[in-house]
Amino acid sequence: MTNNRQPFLRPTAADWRPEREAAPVVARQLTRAMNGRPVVARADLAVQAGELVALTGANGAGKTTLLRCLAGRLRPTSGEVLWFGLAPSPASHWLLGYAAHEGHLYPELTASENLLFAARMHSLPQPQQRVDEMLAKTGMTRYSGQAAGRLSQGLRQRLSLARALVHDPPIVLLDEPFAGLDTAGLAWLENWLRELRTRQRTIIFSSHDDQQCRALADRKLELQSGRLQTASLTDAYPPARCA
Amino acid sequence: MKRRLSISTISILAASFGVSALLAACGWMIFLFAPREITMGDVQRIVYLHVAVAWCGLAGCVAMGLTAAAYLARRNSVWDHWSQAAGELGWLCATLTLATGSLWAHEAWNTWWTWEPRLTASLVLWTVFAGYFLVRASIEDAQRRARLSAVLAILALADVPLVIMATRWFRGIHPVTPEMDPRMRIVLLISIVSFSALFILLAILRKEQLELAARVLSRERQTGVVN
Amino acid sequence: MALSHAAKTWWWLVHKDLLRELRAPRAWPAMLILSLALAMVISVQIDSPSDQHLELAGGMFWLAAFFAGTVALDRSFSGEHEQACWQGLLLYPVGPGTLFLAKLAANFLAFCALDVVLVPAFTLLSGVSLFAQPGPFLATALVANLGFSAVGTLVSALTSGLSQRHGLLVLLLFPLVLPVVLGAVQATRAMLVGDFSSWWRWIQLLSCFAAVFVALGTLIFDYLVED
Repeated sequence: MTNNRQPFLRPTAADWRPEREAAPVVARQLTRAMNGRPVVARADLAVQAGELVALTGANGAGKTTLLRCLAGRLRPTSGEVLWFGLAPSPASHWLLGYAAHEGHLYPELTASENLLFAARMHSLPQPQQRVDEMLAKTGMTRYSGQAAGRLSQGLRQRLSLARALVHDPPIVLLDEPFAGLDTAGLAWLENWLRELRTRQRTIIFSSHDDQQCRALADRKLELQSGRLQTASLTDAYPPARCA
Repeated sequence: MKRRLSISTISILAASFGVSALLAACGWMIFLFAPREITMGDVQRIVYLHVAVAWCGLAGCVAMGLTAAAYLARRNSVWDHWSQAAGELGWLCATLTLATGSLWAHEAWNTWWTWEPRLTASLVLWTVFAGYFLVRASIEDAQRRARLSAVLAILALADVPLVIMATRWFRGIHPVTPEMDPRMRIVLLISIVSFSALFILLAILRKEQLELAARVLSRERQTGVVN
Repeated sequence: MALSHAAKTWWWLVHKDLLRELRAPRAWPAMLILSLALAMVISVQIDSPSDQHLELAGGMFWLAAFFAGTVALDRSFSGEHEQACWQGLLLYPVGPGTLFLAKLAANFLAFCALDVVLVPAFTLLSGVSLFAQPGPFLATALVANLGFSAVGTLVSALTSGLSQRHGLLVLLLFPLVLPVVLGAVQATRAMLVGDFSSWWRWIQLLSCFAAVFVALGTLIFDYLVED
């Protein structure tokens, strides 16, 4: 696994460029095993900027494991994951926005405080301003002072997404983002994802809803017992030129 | 069909014979060569075993920590097997240290236990080894088990010198370098060398056993015999 | 600039832990009440003549403080596993060393708060004023709490995901922190009887212990948090 490290702080937009046009998310022969059994087996994928990719599969197929490997949270048993040609590391976590179904929210802190904490951890220049923007975007301004543990599941899901995207990352990984959302929430999230795609963000989300995937995603990757069934579509895109 | 012994089997057999001979010679020296101690009589001969196993216990802790560090650096399961083997034998030696130390203490100081530095440090070492095995037993995933127990082994390695220092400053009735007849010193040295050789041999055998078990388990998982 | 980012994120992590405890106190009240209960129980059992109180007061105080402190250590990481908050923390651009130092600081502050409550209680129960020598006592408390926090934070992180974490935390922790316990007790005793040369020696041991484990923890925390 490559071990290049990016500078610790996010550089300004003016002085950062992707490494040699490398694809934002690449996995090569990615395998993750638990107790000797592969949960994800030899996955190859490349996702470009501005792509919205749906990851589908039955329960236990390995979707969450694959997403966590792509997020750099799980160390692959073999193979590698690259973000813009570099191995994920804590220093480069500003590139990633990851939201899981657990939420990663502190129940005692208010919605505003949860977002403010995330903004401060990313060293955003004007964290409070950004928090106010995200609360407005998610329709949660009037819940800003409420403890996260007391919000409904749908509102917690919105807050979780806002937390993941507060720093406007180029790579967005979402694990079951539509779970717990009502009709209005679903529509809101679909619009937001389309907007992110327009802004050239790289988005991978997992879902059980095939219809939703067809309506929203540019392409679909299906996991069956840890194996990506859809062939790598790199022939439809220029191959990622990575280090 | 004739089956030939592999070179490694021959080496192990030769080493076993060698260590056995060394231990036999050591036993002869302890009981027949070493002079009888004036104050304690024949009971004093426990010291030759006590010091040797205490040394091996400490060496086991050091080996466990160093091989654990190697595992974290290389992520090769062989180092984890070495670490586990060293830990198991180190724990056994720590147990023997406490047992033989208690026997000696009862004869020398008329008490089975006293909070003198080396016994205290040995008890701490024993508890650390026990904790190491409890952690290993709590984790099913092999990689996670190796990683967490490696961290604990490194903590123990960093801690043991401080424990020894603290307990020495706290109390000091254990003989550090007692006056000894030159023949006694020779026997003590032979004893330490013999038990160290036994420790190394057993560590090799145990590590081979752990590797074989891991290979069997891996094969069984691949063929779907076990989950 | 990287150092400035690490310092800021360290501060916000500590702030977050303190804010959570303030909003929904779980660890601190239990820790404080347990410490008072332990102080009471220990004081009642040790029915010694008053001239021995100076010798025993340090031991009584630190035993109550360290056992009660395990409540805060247990909560330190178990509280992060709700809502998978710990996974969320690991996805921020924060080094594992910074995470360790933040948790260490939060635990250290908890132990200092515990001492603030326990010292007057102990003065009442034992009749010995631990704060008669404020400078030396503060120095003792600071380095002892730092060493205890360092090892405690590491052991708490190690055991947080395990099935038997409550029992394992105490079993693993106390053998490893024996130098801190011995050092704190002996430094306090020496301070109370006016033996400042002995006090200084124990402070050096405590400082060495704290320095070793803060440095070691910063380096190896990465291996504890990876999956």
